[in-house]
Amino acid sequence: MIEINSLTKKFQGGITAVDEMSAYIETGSIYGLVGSNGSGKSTLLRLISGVYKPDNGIVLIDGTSPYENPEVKSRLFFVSDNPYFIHQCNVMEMAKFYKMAYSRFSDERFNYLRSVFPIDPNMRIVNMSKGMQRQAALMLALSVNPDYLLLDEAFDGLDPVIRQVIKRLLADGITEHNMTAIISSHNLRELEDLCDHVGLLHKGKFIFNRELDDIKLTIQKVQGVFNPVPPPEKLKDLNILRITQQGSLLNMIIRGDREEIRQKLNQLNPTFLEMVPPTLEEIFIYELEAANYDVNSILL
Amino acid sequence: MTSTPSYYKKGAGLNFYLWTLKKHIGITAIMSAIMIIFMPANIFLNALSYVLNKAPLQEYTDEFGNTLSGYPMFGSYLFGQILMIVTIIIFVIVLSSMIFNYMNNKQSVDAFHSLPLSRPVLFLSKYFAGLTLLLIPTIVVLGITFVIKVLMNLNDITNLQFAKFTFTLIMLEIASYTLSVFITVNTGTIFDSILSLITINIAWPLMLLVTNGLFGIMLYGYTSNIEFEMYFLLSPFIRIVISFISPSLGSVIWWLVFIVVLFTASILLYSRRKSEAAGLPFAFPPLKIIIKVVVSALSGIMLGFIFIAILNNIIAFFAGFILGSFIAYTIVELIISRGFKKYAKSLITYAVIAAAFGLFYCIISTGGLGFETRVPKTENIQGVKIYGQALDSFDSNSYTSYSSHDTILLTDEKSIYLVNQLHNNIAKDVGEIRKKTLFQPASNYIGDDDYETPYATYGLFSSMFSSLNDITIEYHMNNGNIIKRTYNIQDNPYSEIISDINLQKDYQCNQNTAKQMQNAYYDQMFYYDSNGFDSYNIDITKEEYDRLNNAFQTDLTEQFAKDSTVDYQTPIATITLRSDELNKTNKNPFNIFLFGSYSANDITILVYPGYSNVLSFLEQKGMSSSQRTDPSLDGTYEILESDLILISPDVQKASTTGYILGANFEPFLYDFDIEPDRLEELHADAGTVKSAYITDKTQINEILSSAVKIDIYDFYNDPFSNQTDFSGYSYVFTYVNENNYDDNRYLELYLIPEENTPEFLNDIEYSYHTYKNFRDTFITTHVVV
Repeated sequence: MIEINSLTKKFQGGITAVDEMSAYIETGSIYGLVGSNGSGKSTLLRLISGVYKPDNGIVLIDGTSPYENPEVKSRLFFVSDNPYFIHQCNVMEMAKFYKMAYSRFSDERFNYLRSVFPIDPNMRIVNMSKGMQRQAALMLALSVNPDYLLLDEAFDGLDPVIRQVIKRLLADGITEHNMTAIISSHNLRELEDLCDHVGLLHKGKFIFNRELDDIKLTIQKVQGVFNPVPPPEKLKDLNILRITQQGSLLNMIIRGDREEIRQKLNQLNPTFLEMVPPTLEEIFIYELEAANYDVNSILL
Repeated sequence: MTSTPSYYKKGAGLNFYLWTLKKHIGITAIMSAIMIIFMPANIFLNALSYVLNKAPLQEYTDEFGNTLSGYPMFGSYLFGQILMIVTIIIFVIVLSSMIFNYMNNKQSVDAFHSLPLSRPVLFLSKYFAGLTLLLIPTIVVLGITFVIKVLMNLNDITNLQFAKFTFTLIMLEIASYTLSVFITVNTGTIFDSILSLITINIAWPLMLLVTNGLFGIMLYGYTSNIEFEMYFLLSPFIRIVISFISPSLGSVIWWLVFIVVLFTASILLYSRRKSEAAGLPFAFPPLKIIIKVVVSALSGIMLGFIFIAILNNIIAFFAGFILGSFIAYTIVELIISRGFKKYAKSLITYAVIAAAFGLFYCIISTGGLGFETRVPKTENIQGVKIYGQALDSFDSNSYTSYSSHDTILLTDEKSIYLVNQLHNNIAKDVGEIRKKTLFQPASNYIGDDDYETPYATYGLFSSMFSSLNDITIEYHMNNGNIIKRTYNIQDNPYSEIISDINLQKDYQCNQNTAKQMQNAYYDQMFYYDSNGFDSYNIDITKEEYDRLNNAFQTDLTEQFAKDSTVDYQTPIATITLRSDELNKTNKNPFNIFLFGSYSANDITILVYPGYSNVLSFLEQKGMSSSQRTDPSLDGTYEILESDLILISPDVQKASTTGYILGANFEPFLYDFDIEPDRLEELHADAGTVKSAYITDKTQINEILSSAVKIDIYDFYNDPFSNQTDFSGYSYVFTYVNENNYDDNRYLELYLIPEENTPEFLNDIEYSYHTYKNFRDTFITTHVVV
């Protein structure tokens, strides 16, 4: 369980990268951190991993601060957005490096992962492509069997097949030892089918932080043909986030219970009515618009 | 809250230490190889060369000893040693940068600082790994050198001296490495680390030097009390270059404290260092400010000196300071801040620097808060030393040797009073001059009407040079403090009191160079007769030295007790005492470093007829009051006889034989092993000379008839300047033509062709001498008179 409370981190030049941030991440969940560049995702991950010391507020991992705390750090692994490998090392040598630091590094798991990822462990990492380097970093991270896995832009440069492999491995981790993963990305689509929680960051603050299923259940995307088109006052009982009209066709994003919305719309005698689940990106857009944020500046 | 299991891996720090060692072992191997080439291999090959050439190894052992004890500066072995130390310096920087560079890179900081290791453990594992990697080559190389020393019997340097050198080198290596690590912790990039290292190791000592010079220029009486080592107390990278100069005990303690303090500070700072400092110029502000201040002040004062030298007025000095410091500050700020973004705001720092300098200048240009006119009270003075060439001009009988010996402390009441009175008079005049020259530098001379002539550069290098008009008064106070003042004076206002000082028996007695014998043991004695012709060199044991010392002290005391006008008598002999060991250790290390020298610490003492105890000692050593023969080539000789001439055993022997080729013929015969491939060596630095003492006139004539005259040479210059090919010749000797008898500068050079070499020369018993500087030795040792 990760508890973040009023967390603040400032950098030289008066930049506040993380500003009074609070969140609560359950053990055994996959938490997606979304936000544009400079929104504070990487800084938050560095604070959680104990690389940075908070200027204010607290990060607690199972009730203990990770900063300068080897006990806590022995249970987490941080893969930064640009993974570091020791000069001229190959994956095997890096495995030895991590093995001397982490007691839970598993040779068995490492050997298994070698069979999963299509990379040569004896090849110098510096000669690998960006995607291969990222696979190497993930292979090493998963070999450590951490309780908390922090992945910064983890899927950047990975092909769809590898992404699926990683999703499966993360799921295995959660199943096998109740691992918690925090994955940051600036691309919503990457996280949509992976996370059960999502936090949206903007200028160092959470502007959205909820369970994904919960979001999907409470927002409905509706297409309906009405003849005649009902006047606005007849729709005022619905919590409509967005509505567009093309002749007798109405496209609506409505917040609320699916069945309740269907009942109310059926009372308006639609010629045709269809309710489809919105994409994560659509949900964010509508939520942010509803909260009067400039969507284009947040989601690129 | 539920308890969580601990997965912290114990022993991870040790694992990291071993891993870092393994990772960088290649660097250590390269370092070892380079150092082996520069030190033990160099020594071994040179020693081997001596052995193979059947040259006496003694000369080589001299070189070996000189190498580790610091002179001559440009001897090939010392050159190798310097290169070895330069290698150490380079690898200190390389290794500390490589091992701690992770701090300067955001990616590696992410990796290392998220590892389950505390910062102190991570730092310690890295620090000690780097230290191990550095020390392994040094210890191995010095170990091999020691083995070579033992196996080849290179005993000119003792095991203790070798151990001292080893200790000094390793201590300074650790200090350099620790400083480098400390700076790495303080900075965020390698560039800024190196910039900081340069500032602390080069700019800081230079700033001390120029500030000291500024004191000397501004303050009357100021003389530098700064010991040579003080300049480098924060600069181990410079100090290690001259690690062959053994540090004092205080200095050793300083360096050990330096290491401990920097090491501790590095751990503490590293624990507080923000990970986000990676890539920024500096992780902590103080070092940045120190760099700005040091570089600005140094540049300002230096440009001020240049301006003052050109334009000769104080406005120019200030203009130079402002211009130099401002330009330097701007450049440093531009580099440190990577642009002018923060420049305007940072000018506040520059304003503080300029204001501080202005205040400092005001203080030192108005008398240094009473420094110039403060004179100790006699009741607080335990003793006083007074010396300087201005004083010597009044002193017809001190016979001080213008060396760096400590002058004897005068403790009698009258001497203290007179010296203090002289100081009072000078200080009073200084006060008057200062009133007329407020904010101006000190005048060249005190007592000179032309006191407005400012800007003596004397103070800048006062520790290295002395003026013909300087006088130094050194008070040893009852509380243990030493107060020292040096003035450039004109003689007129102070001549009376200086004469009074000179007339003090204690002064005369104590200033006599024989008093310096009490300070140390000099193991060589050079005896010269009254004409200075008969030079006789003997080694004296400690017991003999003590006897000679007692003889001199007794004779001096008795002589001054009965007659202070001893100086007007004629000395009958001169004794020069020398200790090569003392010359190596006593001299100003900076001078040794720059020039190297053997002779500056010799004591020369005149022997007067009344010195009965000394004369008795000399007679026991073989000198006798007898006749002396000065023969000429044609077989005639002049016999000189005087009770006042002590003759050395060599001359006595020659005189009784009656055939010494003294006046007209060089009595030594040289064999230079003349071979073309050794010519370069003869003309370079080293040479082995075998010589024989020829006293048989028949043999001399045979030698002369077999020889070929080559040239007349000027022995002030290179004797072989016109002779480059010695092949086919076996011996060389010199001869003074009778036409040039009165001008013994010109000698005729003769060579003996191999085919004409007289048989008896092969059967003569030769003695061997080896010399470091062959040409100089040839000139000075074998001048014919």
